Amino acid sequence: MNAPLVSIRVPATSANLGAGFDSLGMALSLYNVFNVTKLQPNGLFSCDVIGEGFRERDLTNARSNMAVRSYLRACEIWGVAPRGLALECHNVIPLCRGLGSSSTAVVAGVLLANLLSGRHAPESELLRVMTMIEGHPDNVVPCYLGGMTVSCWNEVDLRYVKFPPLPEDLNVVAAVPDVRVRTRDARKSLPHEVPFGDAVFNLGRAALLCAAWATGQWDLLSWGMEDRLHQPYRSRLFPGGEVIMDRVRTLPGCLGVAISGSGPTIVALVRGAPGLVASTLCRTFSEYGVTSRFFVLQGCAGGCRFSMRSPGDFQEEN
Amino acid sequence: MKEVVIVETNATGTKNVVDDVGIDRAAARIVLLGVPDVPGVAANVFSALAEHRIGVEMIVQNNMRGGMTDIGFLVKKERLDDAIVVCRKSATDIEAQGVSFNTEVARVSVCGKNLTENPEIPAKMFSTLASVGVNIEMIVSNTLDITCVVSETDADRAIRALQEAFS
Repeated sequence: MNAPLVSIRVPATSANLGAGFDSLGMALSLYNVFNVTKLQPNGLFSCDVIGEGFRERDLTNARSNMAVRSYLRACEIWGVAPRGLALECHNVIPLCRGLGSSSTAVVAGVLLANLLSGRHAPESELLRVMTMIEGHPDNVVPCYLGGMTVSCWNEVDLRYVKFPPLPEDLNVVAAVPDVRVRTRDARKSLPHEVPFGDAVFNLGRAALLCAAWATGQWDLLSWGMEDRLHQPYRSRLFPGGEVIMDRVRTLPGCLGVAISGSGPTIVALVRGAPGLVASTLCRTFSEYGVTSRFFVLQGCAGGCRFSMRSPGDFQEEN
Repeated sequence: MKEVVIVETNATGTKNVVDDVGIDRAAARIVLLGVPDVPGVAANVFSALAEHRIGVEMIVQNNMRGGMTDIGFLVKKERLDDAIVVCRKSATDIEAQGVSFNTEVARVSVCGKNLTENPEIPAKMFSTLASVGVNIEMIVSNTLDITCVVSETDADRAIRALQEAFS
């Protein structure tokens, strides 16, 4: 079997990390792979979805596939003619579970536009376009850069900082229940206003989380991952959500626990053996009648990675 | 802890080949996701598990598509923490896309004699599970037993239905 013309490997992300609503996110060692298997005439696209979402028309239809849409949008923003292509999406990141599956498609689409157009856009421009398409930066920035990032977006421009990677003995347990939470529903669940005390609470926790991460004081994460702006509201959107974090917070090795993204996945940072925390999370979902599985991940320090065949191989096929 | 339920059998018809119906909640399921379809990857994973004396059962490899495949198997729950370390390292070595784990599973089995010569037995087992809305996650069969991995949330319903069907 021939190697694809372009292959992009893009990590999962856990955004809205603890107190860092819409600003803090980390890349994780679970990857979707997007392969361009051939170039086609302009305007002609096809998508083959393997794994997660292979039955979803939004993914298998090239017109609605987020990677293709992001590719076309980036070409439009940069004023370059989009070459048609055949895309193979190898998806293992669960859909609509709060692990940044759609962000991997945005990152892949924008990067494809950059690679196939020969534009050579700088990192800051790639991230600006990715954030513009996604609408918020806390998934796409760590997804592309890797590591844990803090980012701020003013609808036009972006500023971000990448933090040092997690130490190797620190595991990220992601317990994924078999229920979906749509990002738009999760947004609707949030209040328009929050009490001043809750805002102050989150300011302190978010600052502590960043400071702890930057200085490697991992024992402070339990406080830094507390939140009053989104988790209390979103935990009501899925079975077991209101009790599950309290069940594991005090288990041995558990440094912090949070809803990943908009949920319903729960992420716990665990030092040492992760089995007890992971099985407790999944048993709780079972008690509420929901099947689940878990991943034991590490921080992905390198972010998105790609390989590309030589330009001589890039001939259009009908 | 393995629980085995003995079901009385009749002397005639299809029932006479099934001796018992059992359930086992002691295993965890591991799936290596997006494994490159090249020689040596299965050897890498299972050699590493063997080096750590971690026993595996019910190894299943999916059909390859686009040059990648998934490999699933079971380990004893008591070895899960060791298996997590080994599988994660192997996944990195072979450039798999990830590894998922599931402790909330159970194995339900029908056991008997000459099951492969009685095709109505697996048909009846799968129909019975379907009739009570139980999804089968893995299947393995041989002449002495047919085993299905199901979710823990479905396990009690599955075993009750099988006891009734094969009694």
